[in-house]
Amino acid sequence: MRGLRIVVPAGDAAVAGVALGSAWALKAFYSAATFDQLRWILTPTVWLIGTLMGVPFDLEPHRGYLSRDHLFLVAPACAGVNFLVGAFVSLCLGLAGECATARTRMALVLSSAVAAYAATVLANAVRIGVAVRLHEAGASFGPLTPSRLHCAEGVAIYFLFLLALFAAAVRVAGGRRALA
Amino acid sequence: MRSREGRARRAGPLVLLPWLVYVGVTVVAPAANGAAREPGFGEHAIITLGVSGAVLVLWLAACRARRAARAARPRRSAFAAHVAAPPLQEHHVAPAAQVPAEALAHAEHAEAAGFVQRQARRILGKDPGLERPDAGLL
Repeated sequence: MRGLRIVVPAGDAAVAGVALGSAWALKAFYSAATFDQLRWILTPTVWLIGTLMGVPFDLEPHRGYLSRDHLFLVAPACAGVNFLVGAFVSLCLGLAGECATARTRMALVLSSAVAAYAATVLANAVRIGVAVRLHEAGASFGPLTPSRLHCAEGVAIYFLFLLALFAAAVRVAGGRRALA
Repeated sequence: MRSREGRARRAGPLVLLPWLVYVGVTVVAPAANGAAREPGFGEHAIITLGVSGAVLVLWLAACRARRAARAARPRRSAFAAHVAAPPLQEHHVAPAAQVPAEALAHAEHAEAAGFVQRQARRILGKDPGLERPDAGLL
């Protein structure tokens, strides 16, 4: 009986290596990052929440952004870096097979990074905006305590945005594999 | 011939990739890093797997329903949509059981007799009755 042999082209393997290496480095950075080190992602997120949902936040130096009206703090744990990592890796791995040259592979990695950053800011703004409203309403459903509801709402919004981003990227790239 | 699409279908839906990556980043990697010992991680893992799995199932169901609706819709070309005339193709008409390769040629016309040959001279061409190309094997 012949064994299963999976052949991965060198170019695809290089893209996967860059994506996974960047993901590991970003996760390592995030695990010990302070608020000041995460302002590059938290500041546009908080600005977008204020613009889209009309929830104003004030800067609390070295701690985060605080909404005094809703008593809600956007801390480093709310930065959405895990979503950023997931979106970047998904785009790179999912579309690597569409690239034929080294230049298109490089363009894929760069455009995946930009798209993942933009999607993270948007998804996180929506997630925090909805969380503020749920917190304000004190919502809870049976075993879903406010804390569990906050977690579930975050997972649902993040994952829905991740699927939408991935589907849009596959369509733009003219992917030849069936999406679903 | 095996198409790329056919191979892709066997490989499974591509949309599983973001789910695997998401679960890997939010559950598997922290667990491997020692977060599994922390209180509350189990609850976080259950909520993450349950909610993301439910969203994935709903997404796949929506995609399949959309594909089925598209397949059930009658196909009309852009041309047919604007032209009221019936199409040339006849539907639901069974073809003849046997069609001869070449219809039988009619009998030759009689030659003009001597006293009418003067009138017949103005007829151009001649009957190509049996001069068709021979049917070959397909």
